[in-house]
Amino acid sequence: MTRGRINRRQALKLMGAMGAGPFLAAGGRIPPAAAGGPAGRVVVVGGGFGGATVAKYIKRFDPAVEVTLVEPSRRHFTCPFSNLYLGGLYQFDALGHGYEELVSRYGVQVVHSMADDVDADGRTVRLAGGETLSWDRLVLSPGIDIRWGELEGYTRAAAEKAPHAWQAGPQTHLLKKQLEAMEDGGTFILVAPDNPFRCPPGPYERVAMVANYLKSHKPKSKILLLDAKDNFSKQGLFLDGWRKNYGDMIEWVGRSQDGEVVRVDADRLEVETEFGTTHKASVLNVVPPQRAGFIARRAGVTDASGWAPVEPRTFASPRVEGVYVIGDATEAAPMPKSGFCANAQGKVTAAAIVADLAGVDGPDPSWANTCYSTVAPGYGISVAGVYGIREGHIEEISGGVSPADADAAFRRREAEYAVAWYRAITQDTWGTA
Amino acid sequence: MYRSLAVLLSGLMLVAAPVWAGAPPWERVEAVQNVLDGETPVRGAIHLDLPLVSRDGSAVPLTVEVDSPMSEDDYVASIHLFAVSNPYPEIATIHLTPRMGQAKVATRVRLNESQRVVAVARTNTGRVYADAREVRVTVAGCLARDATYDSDTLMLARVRAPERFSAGEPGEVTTLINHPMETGLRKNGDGNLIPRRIVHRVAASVGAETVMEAELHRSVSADPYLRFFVAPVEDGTLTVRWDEEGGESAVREESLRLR
Amino acid sequence: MGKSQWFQVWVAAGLLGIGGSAVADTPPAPDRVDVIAATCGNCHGTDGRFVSAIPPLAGRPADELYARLRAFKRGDNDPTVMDRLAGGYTDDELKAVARYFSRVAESPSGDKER
Ligand SMILES: Cc1cc2nc3c(=O)[nH]c(=O)nc-3n(C[C@H](O)[C@H](O)[C@H](O)COP(=O)(O)OP(=O)(O)OC[C@H]3O[C@@H](n4cnc5c(N)ncnc54)[C@H](O)[C@@H]3O)c2cc1C
Repeated sequence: MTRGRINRRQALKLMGAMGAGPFLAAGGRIPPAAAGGPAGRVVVVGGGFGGATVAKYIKRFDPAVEVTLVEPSRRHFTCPFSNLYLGGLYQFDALGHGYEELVSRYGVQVVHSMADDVDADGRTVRLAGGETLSWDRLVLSPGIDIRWGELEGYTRAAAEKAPHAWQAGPQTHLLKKQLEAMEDGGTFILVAPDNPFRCPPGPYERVAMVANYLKSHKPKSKILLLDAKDNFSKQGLFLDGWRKNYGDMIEWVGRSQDGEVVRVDADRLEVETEFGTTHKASVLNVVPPQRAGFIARRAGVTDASGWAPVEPRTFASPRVEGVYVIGDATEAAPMPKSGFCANAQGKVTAAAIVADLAGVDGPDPSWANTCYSTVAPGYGISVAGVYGIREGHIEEISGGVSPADADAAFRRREAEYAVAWYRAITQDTWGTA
Repeated sequence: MYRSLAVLLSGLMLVAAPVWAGAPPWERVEAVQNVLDGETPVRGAIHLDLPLVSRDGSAVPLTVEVDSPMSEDDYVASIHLFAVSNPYPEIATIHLTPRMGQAKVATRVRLNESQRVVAVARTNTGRVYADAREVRVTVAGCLARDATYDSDTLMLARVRAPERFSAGEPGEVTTLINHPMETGLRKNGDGNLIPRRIVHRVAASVGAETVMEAELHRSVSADPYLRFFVAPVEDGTLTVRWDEEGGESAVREESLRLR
Repeated sequence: MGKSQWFQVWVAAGLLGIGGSAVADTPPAPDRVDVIAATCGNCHGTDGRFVSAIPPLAGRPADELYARLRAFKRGDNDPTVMDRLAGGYTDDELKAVARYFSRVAESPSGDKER
């Protein structure tokens, strides 16, 4: 600690050592507990997987900490399982989760507003209405923003014709409507980005779920997946699963086979690849390049990559004191940008903040991830991992993908577990299953 | 403690010093020393760009650019790239000419582990520049690389050039050839070494004149990818040729037209 | 004991020149086992109470849970993801987590005192 801040424990040690006692407590930057108020004030921006979890778990670890969650929506609609909605396997309404339990059961204060700006020196957050909230610790879990225009031609306006559906809501409905209006025998094109991006297996589950819909409604149609990468998550399992369930309906074109799209013409539903091939779609779904939500940039926690680097143990920002970042907005490789990881990070960071406010060292962190992908009804695959710290870096301690040679029963169980997982994590995050 | 170290490190990385404070990052790398041949390079005129973190060490995008007029009198003659912690650090040596118009090249490289990548450039007048970047490579279980190479398109080459050039103005050319770039260090499922097989040379020419020539080593990614500039002064044909070490060749031609 | 009371203990300890960790009764800051157990909630619900195709953990005997976790770690027990996950923890951690869930009441009404 070299930046002039001392925590409660250090202050106490110091007091003990110097026999000085109360004088320091009055002058130093000591959390409000010293003054007999709450054990500290935490503001959390974003009520998605990371934000809702960190708010709840801070309260579970120490109810005396005051927690305010800032989130514009009254219900958060999740990206997880939105592919299953597109595939006709899940109801859209079941993707929505409210904040009632966080308020009534855990005592989190929820403010439905957008955080507009962060004043790191004054330790405040300004809300869209102009109001400000002050904090002792700030947690940002704003998810992703699209890098509009980074992929030539892919602007906000273009997304109204060629949806991304990478943030659940109106975009998901738009894509579903376009699928329903598509002629039998048409071509669905999905454009997949280079790393890093939200949900590495997401594009591959998406085409599987689109295939599931097309198979029973428009069986003559084709799916073309144009990819800016040559390797992707659970590749062998997906290629095998697509073939087994959908024959040759899905064609994947990797970067070295000229799969990287460099220009989008949303009016014509055309895309152009790196080496100049033009593909025409009936429905065009572009998963564009991304970066951390804008509030992370406002707070100054992001670097040139557009993501927020974090201190591995706590996910505190190494750039801005008192600010923590979790979820998709972080660069936390090898952890993927998944809802599961955002939730797991929320818990570790909740423990770190509670410990920090109490003036003690936080626990050695441990995070986990399991990403289920539903390839077809009764056919699920997964990748799982446990992460910890080795030599100062986050590393995968254990993990792997489902076996390549698993039998039908195994795939069926993983499909069932996917649904059970979704219900459990939404219960764990928002209290609504 | 951890925080202050991080702050210190990030502070260091922001400072673009013309010379290296402390030991230069190639000090104990023999391959780099051989290229330097006793000279002390300077920083500043050369810019090496790689991601800070890569989630797939099998293909990490790399761009290197040198500030240079690229005139007959003053041009960058060669750029040498190294991945210092790979079993064989050499990535590639690129021979440049004034006909490129711009000293900027991009490729994709293999990084076995987190490490430092070094670029050294030498001008026709004998100046030597160097730059280095640290790249953190993380391996996630979900990205286990497929061991087999799809041979349907082996030696299939692609070239793309701008549709029109302005006379003497550089335009970017993108090239790629489907090739496994077998290192000779990998084993197949039966535990036997897969024989070495690499494309070791890529050359681009306009008419009889060489524009660029690259020697590729084992640290170049599979499906060797190279972007470079060409500045034609008249309509012509760009010929790109790839040679396998002791094996086949592929040639592609692309017309270059002025506006 | 509430936070403010803890603080008084520390102030006293501090004045006596005793480091925070030397205070007789440790403060209720979450430890690594709390964090690992919380991570289980991702699939098993908060406090391991969620009932679904994925079995709940709350209130099950520690021995039984530990035996299952050990088996998963060895690849036994017909696992899907649990073998891949169990390998990420030491046996002591698995034991501690098993103990943690054995002490959680099966329903929220019997909430564990935190
Ligand atoms: C198609 C698809 C499928 C997926 N499937 C899975 C899956 O099966 N499993 C899995 O684990 N993950 C999955 N994911 C990934 C998952 O959605 C993300 O990793 C997860 O949502 C990240 O959580 P987060 O808290 O970082 O962001 P989010 O969950 O996106 O939450 C961010 C929240 O912050 C709010 N916000 C943003 N800016 C502000 C601001 N300035 N002020 C106030 N509020 C703000 C937003 O309104 C939003 O509610 C999937 C993603 C996609 C796109």
